[in-house]
Amino acid sequence: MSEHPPRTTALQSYELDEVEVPIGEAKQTVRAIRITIHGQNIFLRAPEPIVRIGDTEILYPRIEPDEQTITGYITDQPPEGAAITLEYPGLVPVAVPERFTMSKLQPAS
Amino acid sequence: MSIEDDPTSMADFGFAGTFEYDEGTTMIDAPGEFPDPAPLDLKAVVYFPADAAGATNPGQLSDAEDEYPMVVVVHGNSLSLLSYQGYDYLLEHLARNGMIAASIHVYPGAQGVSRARALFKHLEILGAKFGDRIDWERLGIMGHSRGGEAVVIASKLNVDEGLGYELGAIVSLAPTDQYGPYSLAGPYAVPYLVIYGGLDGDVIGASPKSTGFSLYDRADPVKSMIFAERACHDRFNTQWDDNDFFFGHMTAADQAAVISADAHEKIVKGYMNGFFRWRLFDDDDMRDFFTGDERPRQVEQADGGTVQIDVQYQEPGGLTLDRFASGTWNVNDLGGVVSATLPAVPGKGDLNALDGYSPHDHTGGLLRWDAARHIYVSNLPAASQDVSDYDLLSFRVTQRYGSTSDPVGMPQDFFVMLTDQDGRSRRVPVSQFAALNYPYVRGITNLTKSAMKTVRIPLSEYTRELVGVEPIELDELASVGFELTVDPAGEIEVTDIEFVSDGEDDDEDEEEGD
Repeated sequence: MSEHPPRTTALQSYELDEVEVPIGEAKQTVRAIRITIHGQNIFLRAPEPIVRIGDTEILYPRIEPDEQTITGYITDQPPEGAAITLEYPGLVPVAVPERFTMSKLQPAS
Repeated sequence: MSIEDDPTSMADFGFAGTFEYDEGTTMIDAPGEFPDPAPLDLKAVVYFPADAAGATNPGQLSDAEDEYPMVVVVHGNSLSLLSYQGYDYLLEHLARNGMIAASIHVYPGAQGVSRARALFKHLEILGAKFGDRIDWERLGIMGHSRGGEAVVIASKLNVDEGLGYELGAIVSLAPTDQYGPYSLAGPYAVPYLVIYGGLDGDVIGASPKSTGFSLYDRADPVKSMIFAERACHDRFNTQWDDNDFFFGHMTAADQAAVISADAHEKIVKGYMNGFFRWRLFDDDDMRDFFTGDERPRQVEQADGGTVQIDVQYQEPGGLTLDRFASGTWNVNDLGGVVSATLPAVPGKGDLNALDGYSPHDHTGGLLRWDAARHIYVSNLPAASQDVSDYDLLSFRVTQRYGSTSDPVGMPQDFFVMLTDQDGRSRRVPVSQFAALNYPYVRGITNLTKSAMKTVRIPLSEYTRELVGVEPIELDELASVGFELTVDPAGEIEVTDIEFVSDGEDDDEDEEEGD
């Protein structure tokens, strides 16, 4: 049997846009920031992925079927310059090369 | 047990019919997900007992029985939209053993609760398709990966929301344990089987208490866990190839060591069919596969006889001497005095706190010995000294991975000694009943697990006549001891020391004795 080398997860860039979404226990519509992270080998696995911006864990992380995109939401603004990371249990967190900045925020359309 | 009794190969029906259905899209509650509720495509594949080849609709269900038990399967998370088709080998086998068996589709990314919700949606659909031919008092559910946790969640939803389903058996295959903790305990208890591989490349157990071990530990009905040392995650689903090889948790040597896809399928067919037959058909001949007394023949022969399986088993109703749950090390859970002559004070408490390699969510004791100090004795208090109604002494035990006292790769052994009130003692080596092997070591060693197995020693070993040795009086038993003298040093974790019945009818025992 030939070896299957690990397919390493890599993150490349991210986008921010302002959205109004019904989230939380009460499913009330709130203003939130959606983050869309692009990369490679963002696997749909058994463990839930954990995405953090600094110390803030994003809500509802969702991996798209292309396994190259993961989206999620934040309702509190993280600090400028915070690292954006994706983590699976047992693996070293992977970071987006760019740091977080609100200057990338696209207003609600 | 004859070869015909191998649940891997046995079949009561010559034919299995099959069909798929697609009932459109519905919305299900999906807490923790966005959006919530979430859209679910109501697709599934179904197999059923049939009287002729080529049956493709529920009306062709075999006439041999009025009603049939049903098993529904929930897959785990994957990119593939065909995951639900990855268990056809199991469904067909269950159908040929007299069960209606369905595997349902769940959308990628679905979490535990939504997978459980999906399962209940499909029970309604299957009920409409098969009408009164389903025996709703014999319902089993099986889940793989996230689905393996979802079936545990389903038991809670069923009770809490008064859904009214009579779940007779739940099976978790390589399950996650990440959404709760949920437990098949108290009102949610349903006979439970866990199957998990020691080379799982997805549910790896990097976090404490995050695998099927912890789900097993927290369950309190009759339960069994099959730990197949070299099984992985994705080979249980024929649509998933070897994807878990790519996630970075398996070395090249690990990948080469994984047992074949054929062996994975035999494990699933043998143990799951056996469990559902045992619990849904009251086929007590199957019980021995889950106590560890027997192994399905085709599993034993798979991959040239190299498949290593460790079994845990427990059922309610025993007399528990010690789960190491409370108090100081020198008092057991029954309130009896514990004494030890060991080089270190016995550890006691949460197993994962005692040993970071322990995957368990349970309390236990940690015993280390050397050539000079090697005795551990747990006394029964006066009110609990009559154990004559029980048939076996049972406990769970493992070598401690990484201990400098346990030689790498070597088995350990020790004597289990019973002493009665009159001072009569007899000792029996553990190796006579179970191999206490070194934990299976993964290439990425921090994923190695100090995985317990159950040892069951018949009490008859202590009472049968031996020349020159008086039998133990089981109605006045004083203590259970571990005489750690077979090997010069070692370190073990132990828990659930209890006296149990063998599950056999006493009348049958007498007849066999005649």
